[in-house]
Amino acid sequence: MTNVRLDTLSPRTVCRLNADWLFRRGPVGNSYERFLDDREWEPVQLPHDAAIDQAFDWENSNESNGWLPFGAGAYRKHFSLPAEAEGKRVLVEFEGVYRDAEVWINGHYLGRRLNGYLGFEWDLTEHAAFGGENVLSVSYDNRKPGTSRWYTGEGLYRDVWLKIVDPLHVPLYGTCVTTPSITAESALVKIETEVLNLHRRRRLCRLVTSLLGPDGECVAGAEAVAPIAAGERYAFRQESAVPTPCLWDLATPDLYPAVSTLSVADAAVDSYATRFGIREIRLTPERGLLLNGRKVVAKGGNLHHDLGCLGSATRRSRHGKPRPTTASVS
Amino acid sequence: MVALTRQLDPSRKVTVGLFPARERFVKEWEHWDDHDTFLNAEPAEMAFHCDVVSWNYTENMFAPDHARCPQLMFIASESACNIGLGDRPPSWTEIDTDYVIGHYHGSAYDYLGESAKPKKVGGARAHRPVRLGDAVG
Repeated sequence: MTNVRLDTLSPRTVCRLNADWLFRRGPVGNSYERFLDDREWEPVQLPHDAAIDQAFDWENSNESNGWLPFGAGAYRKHFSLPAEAEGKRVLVEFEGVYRDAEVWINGHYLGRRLNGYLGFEWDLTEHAAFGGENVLSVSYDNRKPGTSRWYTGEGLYRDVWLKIVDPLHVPLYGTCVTTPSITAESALVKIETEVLNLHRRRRLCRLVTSLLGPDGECVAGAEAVAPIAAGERYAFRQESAVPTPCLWDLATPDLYPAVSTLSVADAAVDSYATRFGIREIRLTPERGLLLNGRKVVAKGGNLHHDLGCLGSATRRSRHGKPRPTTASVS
Repeated sequence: MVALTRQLDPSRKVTVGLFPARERFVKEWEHWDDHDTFLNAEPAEMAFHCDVVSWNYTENMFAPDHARCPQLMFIASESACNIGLGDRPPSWTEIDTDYVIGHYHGSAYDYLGESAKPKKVGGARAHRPVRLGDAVG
């Protein structure tokens, strides 16, 4: 069981929920019941590809799927939430489940996600047990052949995150940063920040966006205050100029974090980081791709989402050195 | 779809990897005997609705289309480096990178899928070369 604790350094708690899941094969059945004897289930760690260790199956598979079987399965994850998190929102984010996922918290149905690649985040606050044990149940069903043209793997093949946030927070993918105008002296940065207010009353919300340079020092920023009604999703639009920007380029892939801090009556309630690069990409019919004004030929490979014989649940360390592309044209 | 994508992110160009066919689905591998039919066909209809034209396995059409339709911008979204198609040379040699954005090769990485059923354990051809029909199917 994972004991989730509140982050003492940040108003937002983000916990990778990959360790010590339980797994069993087969259709969903009663796998989601809160009080279920799952002691015989197989302990697994995420990311987990439930098909990769199976025998090749000439009947229940096809060429596209590398002759590994199409199956169904269920996972359970036991975790505890701290009592002092009561009043906050508890969110679970799945970066991807292959495929047709259904999710329950403590036996209560949260929803279904058919697509095996799109991540999703759901709010489980209403049925969470604060100061006690919870069980998150996930089923998947990959028995329909032909949902992809390549080997997909199946199950919880990507990371799962548990988040504890204030009811006033930046939702998933809530920021959008662009750099529409760049010179050697200055780069214009546009920041759009969504803020969701799940309090029962309106809140006067202060947003401070700090742009940190590659060395971590604050190089620019913007501040705004707006009232946000109960249940409203409000979009702040800010602009800021970064002096003498370090451009993102092939040899110098420098990124600037934008840190969005929300506060109400001088108390910080959320902190959300977005990394972005300052670069100009132009595409022209005459010269193709121009990166920061310089001609570049994009040389790439078509990758499916697996890692060859290791399956679709891959870790960064397994990728090793990137291979050179087989063609060298410039 | 293009309009929706632009609405979601106006800062980026929109493209779609197009099946290796010309207007009205004229395909090269069905016209080896009358290759002019393929060469004279116009670009696939969708090419004119994207910001960037992404073609799979038809890099030999970049040059004539660049001359015919000077506004088009090209990327080889899928290309083959281990096979020549018909009498065509390996695809990257057909690209003039002066005006082409770039190219992506289908053989850059190993993966399990799209693989043939092994004939027998230890058989010599557990993985046969990909035919074009497989690669785009």
